Amino acid sequence: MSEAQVSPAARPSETGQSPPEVVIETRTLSKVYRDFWGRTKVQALKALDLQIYRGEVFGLLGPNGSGKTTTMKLLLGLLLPTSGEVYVFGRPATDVSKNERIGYLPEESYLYRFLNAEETLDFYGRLFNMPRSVRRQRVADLIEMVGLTWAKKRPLKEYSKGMTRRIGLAQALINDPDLILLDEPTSGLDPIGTREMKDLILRLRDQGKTVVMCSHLLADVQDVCDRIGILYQGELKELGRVDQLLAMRDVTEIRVPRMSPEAESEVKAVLAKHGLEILSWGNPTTTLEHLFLRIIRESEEHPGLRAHGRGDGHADRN
Amino acid sequence: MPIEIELPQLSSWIGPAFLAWLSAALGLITLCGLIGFLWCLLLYGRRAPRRFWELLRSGVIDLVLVSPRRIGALAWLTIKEAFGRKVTVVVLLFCVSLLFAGWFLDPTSSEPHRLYLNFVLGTTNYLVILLVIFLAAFRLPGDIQNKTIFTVLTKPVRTSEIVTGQILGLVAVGSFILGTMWIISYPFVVRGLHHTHAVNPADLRPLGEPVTLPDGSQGQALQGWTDPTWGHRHRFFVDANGNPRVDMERGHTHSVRVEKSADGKVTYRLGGPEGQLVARVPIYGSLVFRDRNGFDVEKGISVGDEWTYRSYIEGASQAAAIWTFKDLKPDEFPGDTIPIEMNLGVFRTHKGDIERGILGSLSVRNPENGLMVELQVFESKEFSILALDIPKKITRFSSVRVEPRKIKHADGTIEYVRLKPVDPQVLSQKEFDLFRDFTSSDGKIEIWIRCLESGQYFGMAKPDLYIRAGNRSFFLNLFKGYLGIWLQMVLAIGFGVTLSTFLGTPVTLVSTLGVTIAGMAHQFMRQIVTGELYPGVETPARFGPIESFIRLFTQEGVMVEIPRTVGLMVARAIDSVFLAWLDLLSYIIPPMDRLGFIDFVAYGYNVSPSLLAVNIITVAGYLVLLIVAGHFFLRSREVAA
Repeated sequence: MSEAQVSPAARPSETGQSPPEVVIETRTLSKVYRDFWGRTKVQALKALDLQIYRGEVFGLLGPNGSGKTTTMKLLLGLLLPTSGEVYVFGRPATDVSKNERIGYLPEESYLYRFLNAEETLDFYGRLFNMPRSVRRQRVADLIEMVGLTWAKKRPLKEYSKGMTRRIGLAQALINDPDLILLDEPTSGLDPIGTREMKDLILRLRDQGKTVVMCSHLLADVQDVCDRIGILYQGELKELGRVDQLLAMRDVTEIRVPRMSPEAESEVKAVLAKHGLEILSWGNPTTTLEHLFLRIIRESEEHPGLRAHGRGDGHADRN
Repeated sequence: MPIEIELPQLSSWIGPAFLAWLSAALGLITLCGLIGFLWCLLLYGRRAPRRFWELLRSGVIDLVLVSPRRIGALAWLTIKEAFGRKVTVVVLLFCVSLLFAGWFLDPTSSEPHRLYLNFVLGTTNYLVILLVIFLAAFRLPGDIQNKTIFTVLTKPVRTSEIVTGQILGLVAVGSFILGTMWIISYPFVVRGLHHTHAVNPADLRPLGEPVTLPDGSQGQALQGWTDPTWGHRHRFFVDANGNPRVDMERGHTHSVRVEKSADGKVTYRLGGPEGQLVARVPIYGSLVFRDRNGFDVEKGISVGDEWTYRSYIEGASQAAAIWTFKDLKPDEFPGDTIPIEMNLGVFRTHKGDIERGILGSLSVRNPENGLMVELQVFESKEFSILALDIPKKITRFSSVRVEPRKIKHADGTIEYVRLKPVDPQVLSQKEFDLFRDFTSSDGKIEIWIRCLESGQYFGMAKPDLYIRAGNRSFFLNLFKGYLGIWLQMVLAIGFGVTLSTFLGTPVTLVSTLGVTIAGMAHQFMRQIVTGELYPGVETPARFGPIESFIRLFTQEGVMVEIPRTVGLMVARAIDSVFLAWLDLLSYIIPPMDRLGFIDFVAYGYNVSPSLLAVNIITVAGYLVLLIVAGHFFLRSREVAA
């Protein structure tokens, strides 16, 4: 590759300090969709400057039409930028060889419905030029990982949406990629599948892989992302670490187990003495996801246990 | 020979063809490069040169760095999808059409084998080419529409691999279907044409006087007819030794087995037709003419028939058609004779006896020393192939002489072709050896045809007289017929896949069909453009569509000069643009009509390895350019837009 085509961020630092390795870099990246006559239909992305580092989970947030998927497609080279530059692993996004290290799960699992799970993964393995023996092992491992061993011979047209997403994820991981791009990864998954997907993302991060996901399911992003960027009408409105962005520095939250009425009165008195207004006081609620997962887990442990149709106040504190 | 075009020889064709291909490729690359650069300029403004260079550079790298495994995977996917779309139904459709073919294929026709072969090959041709065009038109646009292409293009897959993989996959599907049809059609044709005749020994009549056989017994030659089957019967002979023979009728004969019962009663059992399904091997020579004054000329005379590609020689004059054959070897012809076949055109200026053919003579000449003998007189009828034999040992001949050849130049000077002297004793020989006396030291021999009747003409073109070097396997020739369809199919797939890289399904479908139909009518397209019906034979006029329509509407023939009005001038100006466009198109669209061998198989001519190689190389040349074009089209396309 020529010098001119290497991203500056990918070069060793001239100061001698080793900065975090930049996996993705965009520089004033813009995309305009035009009609047949060249007239502007929509400006989907406006001068996006972004750096994504190795080993992080990065979330692209935004409402529908904000430019998340366009960004993803530009990163993958499926679209050509109107202006600006995109580098992935220091190579231009249009360079096919970068795909050797990339796994991509599209928003819908666009797979060949006439193939079964084994054939699907074997086909994608061949596209990575993997030898037959390696492919066979990898296919078996991934099918087991996504829990579809029982359905591996069934054509995908017979799969439910959740199953299709799982096999879609498996194809994204067939090459053991260093960078995984996930477009709405939890779309179409049930809560268990969603949890498993999020756990997998965290596991991938722990393995040192970089994950970029775009979603409009804020809770999912909050659960797994280290950093996020918020897009709105094609512009990057916010960029930073999730914990820093969400931290409310002028509000203090204290959580204690089983506080007695006496202790509660004393705490309130102390706060009043210091002239502090109590914004809220009460028992925190868990998330619906946690409640659902707990019920499913208990049902599996104690088959036959029936719901009472009322809240029992035993919310999981986890 | 029914194939009225010059058949290319690989050795003389390959050089000019390669140069033509190279110039076409360079022209195409330049044109596409220019369009690509303008496109970049439009999209990227000042950054266009850099962007264009990047695209070009990476495009060329991607074209070279292809992986057979990836191509194999993409081809496999295409095959899998095609069979998922139930392409095998086409084979069933073919079988059904064969089942009902008996309703409309008439075995009593004069040439049933041609009818059967045209039917099976024609049906296969249309079915397979339509099928692959549909498959190609739906394959890639379908992937783009369903967005399944996203999961492929985000892998390290080159667009050249996608194009090549899809072409190979579709070719594999088409080959499977074609192969199946070949296997099915062979027994269909053979069994469909199978028939036999019965001979009643009591109906045979004595022929000539009884003769005494070597064992002292008396033998009597017999003749008669077989019973009629499928609208024909054969003349039947039994020689004095009791050996039966069936005459050729409608292009075939039958084997005969003689069975004698205990009481001495003889029964003749005829087998199936023989000689009907053949693959003759013709050896072609080069053709020059001699005019009525005895000078060599490139062409004969025109008899005013604008629809023929033949040149004519005048009867009862010095005019002759001279075929020169090269590299004939005695061991190529195992028998005592060299068989020749000819299909001469006959033009009569007076009717004469219309039932009788026109008389002509056949002579052989040694081009080195001019030694010439006239071998036989024949009677030629139009639209019929005449088979003659030239004996290797020539004992019956006439008019032994040294025949000089001369050329009259434009300035009026006459040049004689230099000849080696002939020993005068040779001229008085009673027997000649064809290869010793009439073949030059460099292996050439001349065959001269003359028309003997005054006021009548023979017309001929190069393929009209050939030496028949034997027969090849009909089974293999039928395979070559299918190979011709396969070549057309491969090109249709190539165009379909390449067009689908930048067009949607409906437009790809229509465009590929258009290219295929135009390719099948390529010769006609060239004829319109050049105004020549056959190479060197000009039509009276070269009209475009508007002037043709005006002439059609005003009922003016092509020979009539119509008033040069302003309207006509405008029409001709528009026509000239159309003809220029058609001219360009005829260089882009492949000559698919020349790729097929249906006529060869149906008329019983072997497809020569040379012609096969020429056609395969032609298709390969087109395919390479199509893959490169498809690669760049797909690469420069935003599939996710």
